[in-house]
Amino acid sequence: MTSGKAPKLLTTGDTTCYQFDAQMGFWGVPSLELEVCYDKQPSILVQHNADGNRDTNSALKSDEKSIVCFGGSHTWGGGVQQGLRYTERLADQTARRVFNLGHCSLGLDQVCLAMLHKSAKYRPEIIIVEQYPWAVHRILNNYVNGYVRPYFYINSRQELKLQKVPTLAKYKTFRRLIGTYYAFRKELREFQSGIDLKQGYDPLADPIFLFWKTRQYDAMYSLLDKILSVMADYCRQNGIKLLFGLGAIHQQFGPKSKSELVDYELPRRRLIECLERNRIAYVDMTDAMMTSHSEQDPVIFADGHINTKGHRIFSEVLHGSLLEKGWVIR
Amino acid sequence: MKGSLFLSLMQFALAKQTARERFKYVLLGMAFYPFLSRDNSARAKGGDDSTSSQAGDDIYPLF
Repeated sequence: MTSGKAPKLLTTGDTTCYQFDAQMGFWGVPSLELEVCYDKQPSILVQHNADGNRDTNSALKSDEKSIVCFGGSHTWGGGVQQGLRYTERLADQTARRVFNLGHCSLGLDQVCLAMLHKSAKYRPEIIIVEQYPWAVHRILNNYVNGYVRPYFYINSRQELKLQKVPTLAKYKTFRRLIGTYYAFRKELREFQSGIDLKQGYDPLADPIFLFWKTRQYDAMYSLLDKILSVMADYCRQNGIKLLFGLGAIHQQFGPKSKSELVDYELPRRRLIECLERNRIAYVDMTDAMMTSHSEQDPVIFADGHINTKGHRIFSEVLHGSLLEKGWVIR
Repeated sequence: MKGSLFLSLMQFALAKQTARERFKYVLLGMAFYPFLSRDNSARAKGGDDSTSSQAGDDIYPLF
């Protein structure tokens, strides 16, 4: 405990640990130290370093190269103590410096931008991107948790373009105005595609899993494909080995869907198609997570985030993959 | 094109479940109509999605 104060209760969408970032929309508050807890879970200590990442401040030696991990709240380690995440375990297993640049609600578009603009400082030899396939939809959501996100789009000439964060988004009032417009526009486009994520939303029947909505998401996967191309090109240009770690989706831990037309594997298959098309290596955690999971000894918390056991399995599978590829020697 | 955007916005608002929500979405639709119309026109011409000061940069391919 940092002090005698009660831990701060964090709920979905809480941005206590985040602040405005001109490039990413939001990023971690630098040098933060806070005891937090999630509903029905023990409290955890959150410590952000000077870069705003939930990581230590230790620097690299002059000739040292690192492993950099990007991802969302699973990588940031929601509900898990700092030393027990897959990144720290991977550091122990490989005897390499592993940097954790994971942040809650981060989309693959922000991961791409962070890769381009933030990763060089850490001299990565390997970049790992953690992504559970449901989260790919974040590249369509331009306003999240009160922050305006930068976003990519494909124009009618099939060019990938970046809409940067507007300068005015630095101010909360303008952020709300711009964000309200982005949210309205997104909801309108979904309505025009026959998708409704507000009224009667059922996570077990999220449109991204629905076979008959597949075509409505074609544009999203085309956009994703181009974003992945940028990541792959950047890594190839800079001699960096890129590996995606695909997490298991929360819905897969529950009862099977009642219809074959509701396919929890659908976003995973499409993400894998995009990764393979761009010749990006990946390792799928689903089998390892599902076989290790039980009601008595789960790998996830009730909200679907991987717990300490889940992080252990994640690091073991990642480490195994890195060894198999010859990217690490231990 | 503009007529179809207006129709979409009305259908969108009328699809809401309560009268309060329908009213809210009509107001939002009216407020955002110029921006939505501009976005749609820009997309149709193959230009930027938005004409805000932060113009989109081509980002791919890198080489």
